[in-house]
Amino acid sequence: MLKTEKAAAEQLVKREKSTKNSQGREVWHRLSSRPVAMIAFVGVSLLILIAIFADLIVPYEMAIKQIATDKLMPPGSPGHLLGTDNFGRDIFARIIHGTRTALQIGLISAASSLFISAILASVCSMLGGIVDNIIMRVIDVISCIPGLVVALAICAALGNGVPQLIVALTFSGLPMHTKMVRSVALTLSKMDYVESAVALGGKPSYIMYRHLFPNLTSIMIINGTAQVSMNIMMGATLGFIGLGVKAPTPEWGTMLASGLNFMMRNQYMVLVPGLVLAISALLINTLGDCLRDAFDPQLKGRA
Amino acid sequence: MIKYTINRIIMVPILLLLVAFFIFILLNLSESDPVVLMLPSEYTQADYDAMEAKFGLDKPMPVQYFNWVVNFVQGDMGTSFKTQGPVADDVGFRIPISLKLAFITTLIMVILGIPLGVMCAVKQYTAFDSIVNVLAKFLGSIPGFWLGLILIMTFSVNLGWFPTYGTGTLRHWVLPVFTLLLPFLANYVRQVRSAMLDCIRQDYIRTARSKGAKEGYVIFREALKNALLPIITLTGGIFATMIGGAVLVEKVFAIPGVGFKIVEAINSRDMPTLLACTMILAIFTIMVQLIVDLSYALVDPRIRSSFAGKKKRKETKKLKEEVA
Amino acid sequence: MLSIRSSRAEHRRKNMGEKLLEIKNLSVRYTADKVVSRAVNQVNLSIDKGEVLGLVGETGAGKTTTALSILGLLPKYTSTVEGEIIFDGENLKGASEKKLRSIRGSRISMIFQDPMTSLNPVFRVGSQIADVIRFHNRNISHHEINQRVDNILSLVGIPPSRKNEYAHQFSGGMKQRVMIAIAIACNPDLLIADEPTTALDVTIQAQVIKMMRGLQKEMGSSVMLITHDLGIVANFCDKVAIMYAGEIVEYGTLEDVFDKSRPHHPYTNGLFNSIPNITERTKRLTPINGLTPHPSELPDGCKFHPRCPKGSEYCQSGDNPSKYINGTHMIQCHQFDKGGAIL
Repeated sequence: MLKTEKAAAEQLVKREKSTKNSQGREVWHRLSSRPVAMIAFVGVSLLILIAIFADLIVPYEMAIKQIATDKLMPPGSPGHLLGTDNFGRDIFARIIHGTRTALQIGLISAASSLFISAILASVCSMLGGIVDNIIMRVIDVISCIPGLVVALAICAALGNGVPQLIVALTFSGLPMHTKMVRSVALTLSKMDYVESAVALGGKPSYIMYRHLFPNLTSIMIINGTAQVSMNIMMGATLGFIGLGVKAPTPEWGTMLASGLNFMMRNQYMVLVPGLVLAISALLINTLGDCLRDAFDPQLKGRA
Repeated sequence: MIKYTINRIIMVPILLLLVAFFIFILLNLSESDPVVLMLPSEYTQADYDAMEAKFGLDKPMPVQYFNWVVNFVQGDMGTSFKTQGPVADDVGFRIPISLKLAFITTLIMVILGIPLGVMCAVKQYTAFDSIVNVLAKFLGSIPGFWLGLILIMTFSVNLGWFPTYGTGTLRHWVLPVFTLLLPFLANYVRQVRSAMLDCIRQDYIRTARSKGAKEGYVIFREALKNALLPIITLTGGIFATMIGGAVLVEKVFAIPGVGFKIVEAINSRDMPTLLACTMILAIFTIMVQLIVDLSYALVDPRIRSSFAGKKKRKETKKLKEEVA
Repeated sequence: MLSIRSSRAEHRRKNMGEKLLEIKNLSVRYTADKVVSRAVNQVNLSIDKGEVLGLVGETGAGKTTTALSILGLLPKYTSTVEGEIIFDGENLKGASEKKLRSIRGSRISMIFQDPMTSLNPVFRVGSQIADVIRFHNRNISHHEINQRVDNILSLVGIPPSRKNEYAHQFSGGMKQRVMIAIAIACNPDLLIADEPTTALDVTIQAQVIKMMRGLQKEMGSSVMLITHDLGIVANFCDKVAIMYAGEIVEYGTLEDVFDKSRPHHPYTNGLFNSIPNITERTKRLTPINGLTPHPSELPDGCKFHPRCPKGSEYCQSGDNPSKYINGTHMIQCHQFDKGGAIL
């Protein structure tokens, strides 16, 4: 008799321990057990490190310095690993410093558009009524215009430059995120566990902190990761059209655009930046997918 | 149902007015003066005033907006700042081109995407599923415009199989459609797969199997009809995006579509043209959304009955009570 | 149509007592993310023609898995099945998909636990019943199918006029009636009912059970009733099997299992002590200590020993306890070994 009770108690303690692990640790544990996830994680970390320490790898000077004698050198030329462009600028240096530009644009714009949309969505779902209605109608209006066109129009209005681009991308991501976060918050607030928390007399702030936020963070992290790669891509797109960052600043999209004129003979000018862009997007997307699997193992393999 | 449709259609002009207003505000934020852009490099104040008056730019913003609305309702889309001719002439012919590109691409996407997605869902955990998934992930990460450039380089410049630009023959359309298709298709297959997986795991699929249904029947009738809701939304959304979002493909392949014109209009601060193009895109987006919503009702009886008039709902309720 | 039904029922009555289904050493394992769950372990069961067998146990005891393995409906890639499932002289384990398909819905059919989700929301209920008739009767006219659907709907107490409605227009009890209609549409030899009343209100439960019993009597089919409600078992079943952690720990006729004076498995005793008794005034219910083990971490020895009030060290390791058999009554417990202490 005693023995069985002891065994049962041990069993309970074991369960308790496993639930005490924080969500973050559990997610990390699931993430680290998958090789693909680790490759993506290491890759993205590498991208971030390159962006931070770009100056240590190659001085910024190299990326803008125009050398009349070194125009259009093919990859592998002495001193220029990836060759030089039509102004004689070192492509390797421009790619490295372009990483910084790209991540700046992608991370800041995705983070701020998520942050703003989270605020808007919580205001909507908490206040409801007329405020909710007004915000959502405005969102409806904006989502009638394709995101790229919104970003284009804002860029045109604000002019060229990294900060302007960030504002444009932040704004163009808003409608989608606000809609999504709001719908999740609304579904959550109707969940049984939230209702039982209300029935137990939980303050709204407690419910927000204890029940809404933990469930919102996972979806925000997952969508945020996807948004980062989308915004990097969109930033490059705008740069390609000529509405992105200002001319000498190294940026992958503008590099592609300038390569366009030399596409016939100097194909590497188009190949290199695009390839870098594609690999970065692939790494970030893969990390996003793995994060989603790790956050919600039940959903694993569904999308 | 009919009432709902009418309500939605009434909302369309209001939405359009707001969209136009939004664009108005946005372009008025710009520091560059469209009047200056239109004038020759040397001009007098008199020239400036004349030009400003000609396009009604001397009036305050709300008045400009009001005038634009009045003209637009009468079918006059205004005069282009750039060509100095009617916007309608410059934009009208582009609509069918953009529609054609979006339509062909969407059609191919559906024809390829649904069977592939369904196959992946059915063959989950097999090599087929993994391979398609990885491929889709790769293709989904390639920037569309870069893909276009690579295709031009390979098939037009190096191999000479397809023309690089223009819209003349069928061969002109191969590369643009392919470029537009691939990234969307990659995403589409993954979404169709996940929608199907959601349905395949439902209890009613187990019921269907327990009835002795053939696997094909279970998948293509019982499951696919349920998965159609998210697939329709997705397809509609992509079609709407493609009409205007093909900006880059149109630019790379020099296809004179609406998206192409938008970039031009933005670069030259050509407000009337930009407004007209945005209106066209918004109209298509709203129309596609409406069609998607209405087709929901066709597919899902639950939505249909929530649209049913009060009278019919009462009848149903009464019947329920009688039986119970 | 009705004549076919009665002639088949007549045939079944004649052959009552013959074995219809025999499950031998059935084991099912699920593998997910490299974790192996042993859902069903070495189960032996048999159902005679015209007999009602009650399969009782807690959630996660492997009842539904056993039922699904009979129909071959377990997920293909994540489960492994061992053992034999002999239905009317044929082994269904390893039978071709075509063979299984011809049996599903026509000779063995199943009613599922949750009628809310078990009906397809986008098809009319009438067509869902018609489907099963069409699958198993070739060259049947449209008109005849319609007639049979009407017939079956009125059998389960639904006005045939409602066949053009969708599942969401029905209440829970009515949906379960539709499920029953689908299951009996082809007059099956074996009807597996997986907790058919769990999702329903108590009053509706009684109606549904009463109707099922009536139909069973009329059709003479065998029924495998999966439930955790001992009241329903007492009402409906001829034989009872008690399942715990994927094993059958006690098996016998209704009297064998429900008669308190006879010996029982400690788990069965625990189950009965967990329900309030009207005739005996008990101050407190005595629950079973501890929790059901997860099928991925089953204990050694007797699976019940960590929770067993009578467990000795004898039970904690080694093989499963041997089976104690007295006529129709089987108990799997060390208590009844020669060496073990008898109650």
